[in-house]
Amino acid sequence: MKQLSAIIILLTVISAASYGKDRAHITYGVEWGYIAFIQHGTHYNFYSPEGYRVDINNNRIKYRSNAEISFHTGYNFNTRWNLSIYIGYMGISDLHHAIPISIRATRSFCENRYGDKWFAFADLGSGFSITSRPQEILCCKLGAGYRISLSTKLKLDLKADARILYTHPELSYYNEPIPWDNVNRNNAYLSALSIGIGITF
Amino acid sequence: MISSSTCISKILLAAASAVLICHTVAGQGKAVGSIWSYKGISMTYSQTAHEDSFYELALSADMMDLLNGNSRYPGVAARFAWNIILKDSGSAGGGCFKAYVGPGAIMGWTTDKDCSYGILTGISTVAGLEYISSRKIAISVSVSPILGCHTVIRKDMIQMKLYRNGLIGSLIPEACIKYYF
Repeated sequence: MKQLSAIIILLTVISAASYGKDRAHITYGVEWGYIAFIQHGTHYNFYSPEGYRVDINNNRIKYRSNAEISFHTGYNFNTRWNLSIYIGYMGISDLHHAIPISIRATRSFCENRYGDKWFAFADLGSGFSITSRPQEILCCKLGAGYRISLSTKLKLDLKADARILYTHPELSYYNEPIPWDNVNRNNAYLSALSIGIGITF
Repeated sequence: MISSSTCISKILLAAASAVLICHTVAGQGKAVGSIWSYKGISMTYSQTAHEDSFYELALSADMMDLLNGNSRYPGVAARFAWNIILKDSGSAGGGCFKAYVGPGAIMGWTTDKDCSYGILTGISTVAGLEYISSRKIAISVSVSPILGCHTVIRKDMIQMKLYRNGLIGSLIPEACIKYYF
């Protein structure tokens, strides 16, 4: 019993001593941005209200605006690499809103932790659409930006990225909504460019 | 005794530096930046008018109905505000905070809730809190309710209504990033 107590006390002291050190590597913040959707690829297959099957396969350049906001928390493995989890709220073109959840790996191009630096990132994730029947979405981003250190704890990120998304929108045919049970396929592939600002602590 | 007086002098020096930063940065008077909000994205220019006030001009892309899925394209609006600095304080971290409030006016070509594009005219109030860093970059959060009219010109009539988006979006926060030069 005495040995167990000693081990517990020792582990507690070690974790408390390392707590301050680990906190310096933990990052968190908020990011928001404007998204310009430029390419829409869709494949819809469904039964119309009249009963016949409709197959629409389309790929076109179409410009639509939307926006997103994300909250993130992560860990700095060293002065160059950071891995973070992002949870946000975004609009996907003129289709629907979604909640993306993704993992982002960021590489900084400066050894100085507190200096201004360029960075690049790759982001891959899933999420779900906000529709009457939520379905999974997939999102992949590649981007870069510039980080300005406003203080030792506060950083301002200016970033831009290119992204591709895959989602399942709700369908309508001549303004009549198609019930989910009549939908065989409702895939949409979108490409977009985004610019944004982030605040990181 | 020596260590406490040294500590006090360091604190006073940091506070004086922070206040000096605030006045130096704000006293330079001019700033450009961008405002981001669920209501839209704006480019902004501000300039010090007097010691305790500054005016702000913003050109906005009104995106509230676009983000709601009710319109395909953003509207445009121009906003002018005369802001009075309520409190200007320093901090030991090297930056300073500024609280401000002021009246303004807005005019534009926007949509409204359940309404097509029309002419927007109105008055607004801006209330915000700004943090100015030692790098001359400021981050602010503000709200700006709008009381205005939305006029839609149709073929056979002119329809003027209360601008409902201005009241619906009155408490939607706006985040602004500005650079003082």
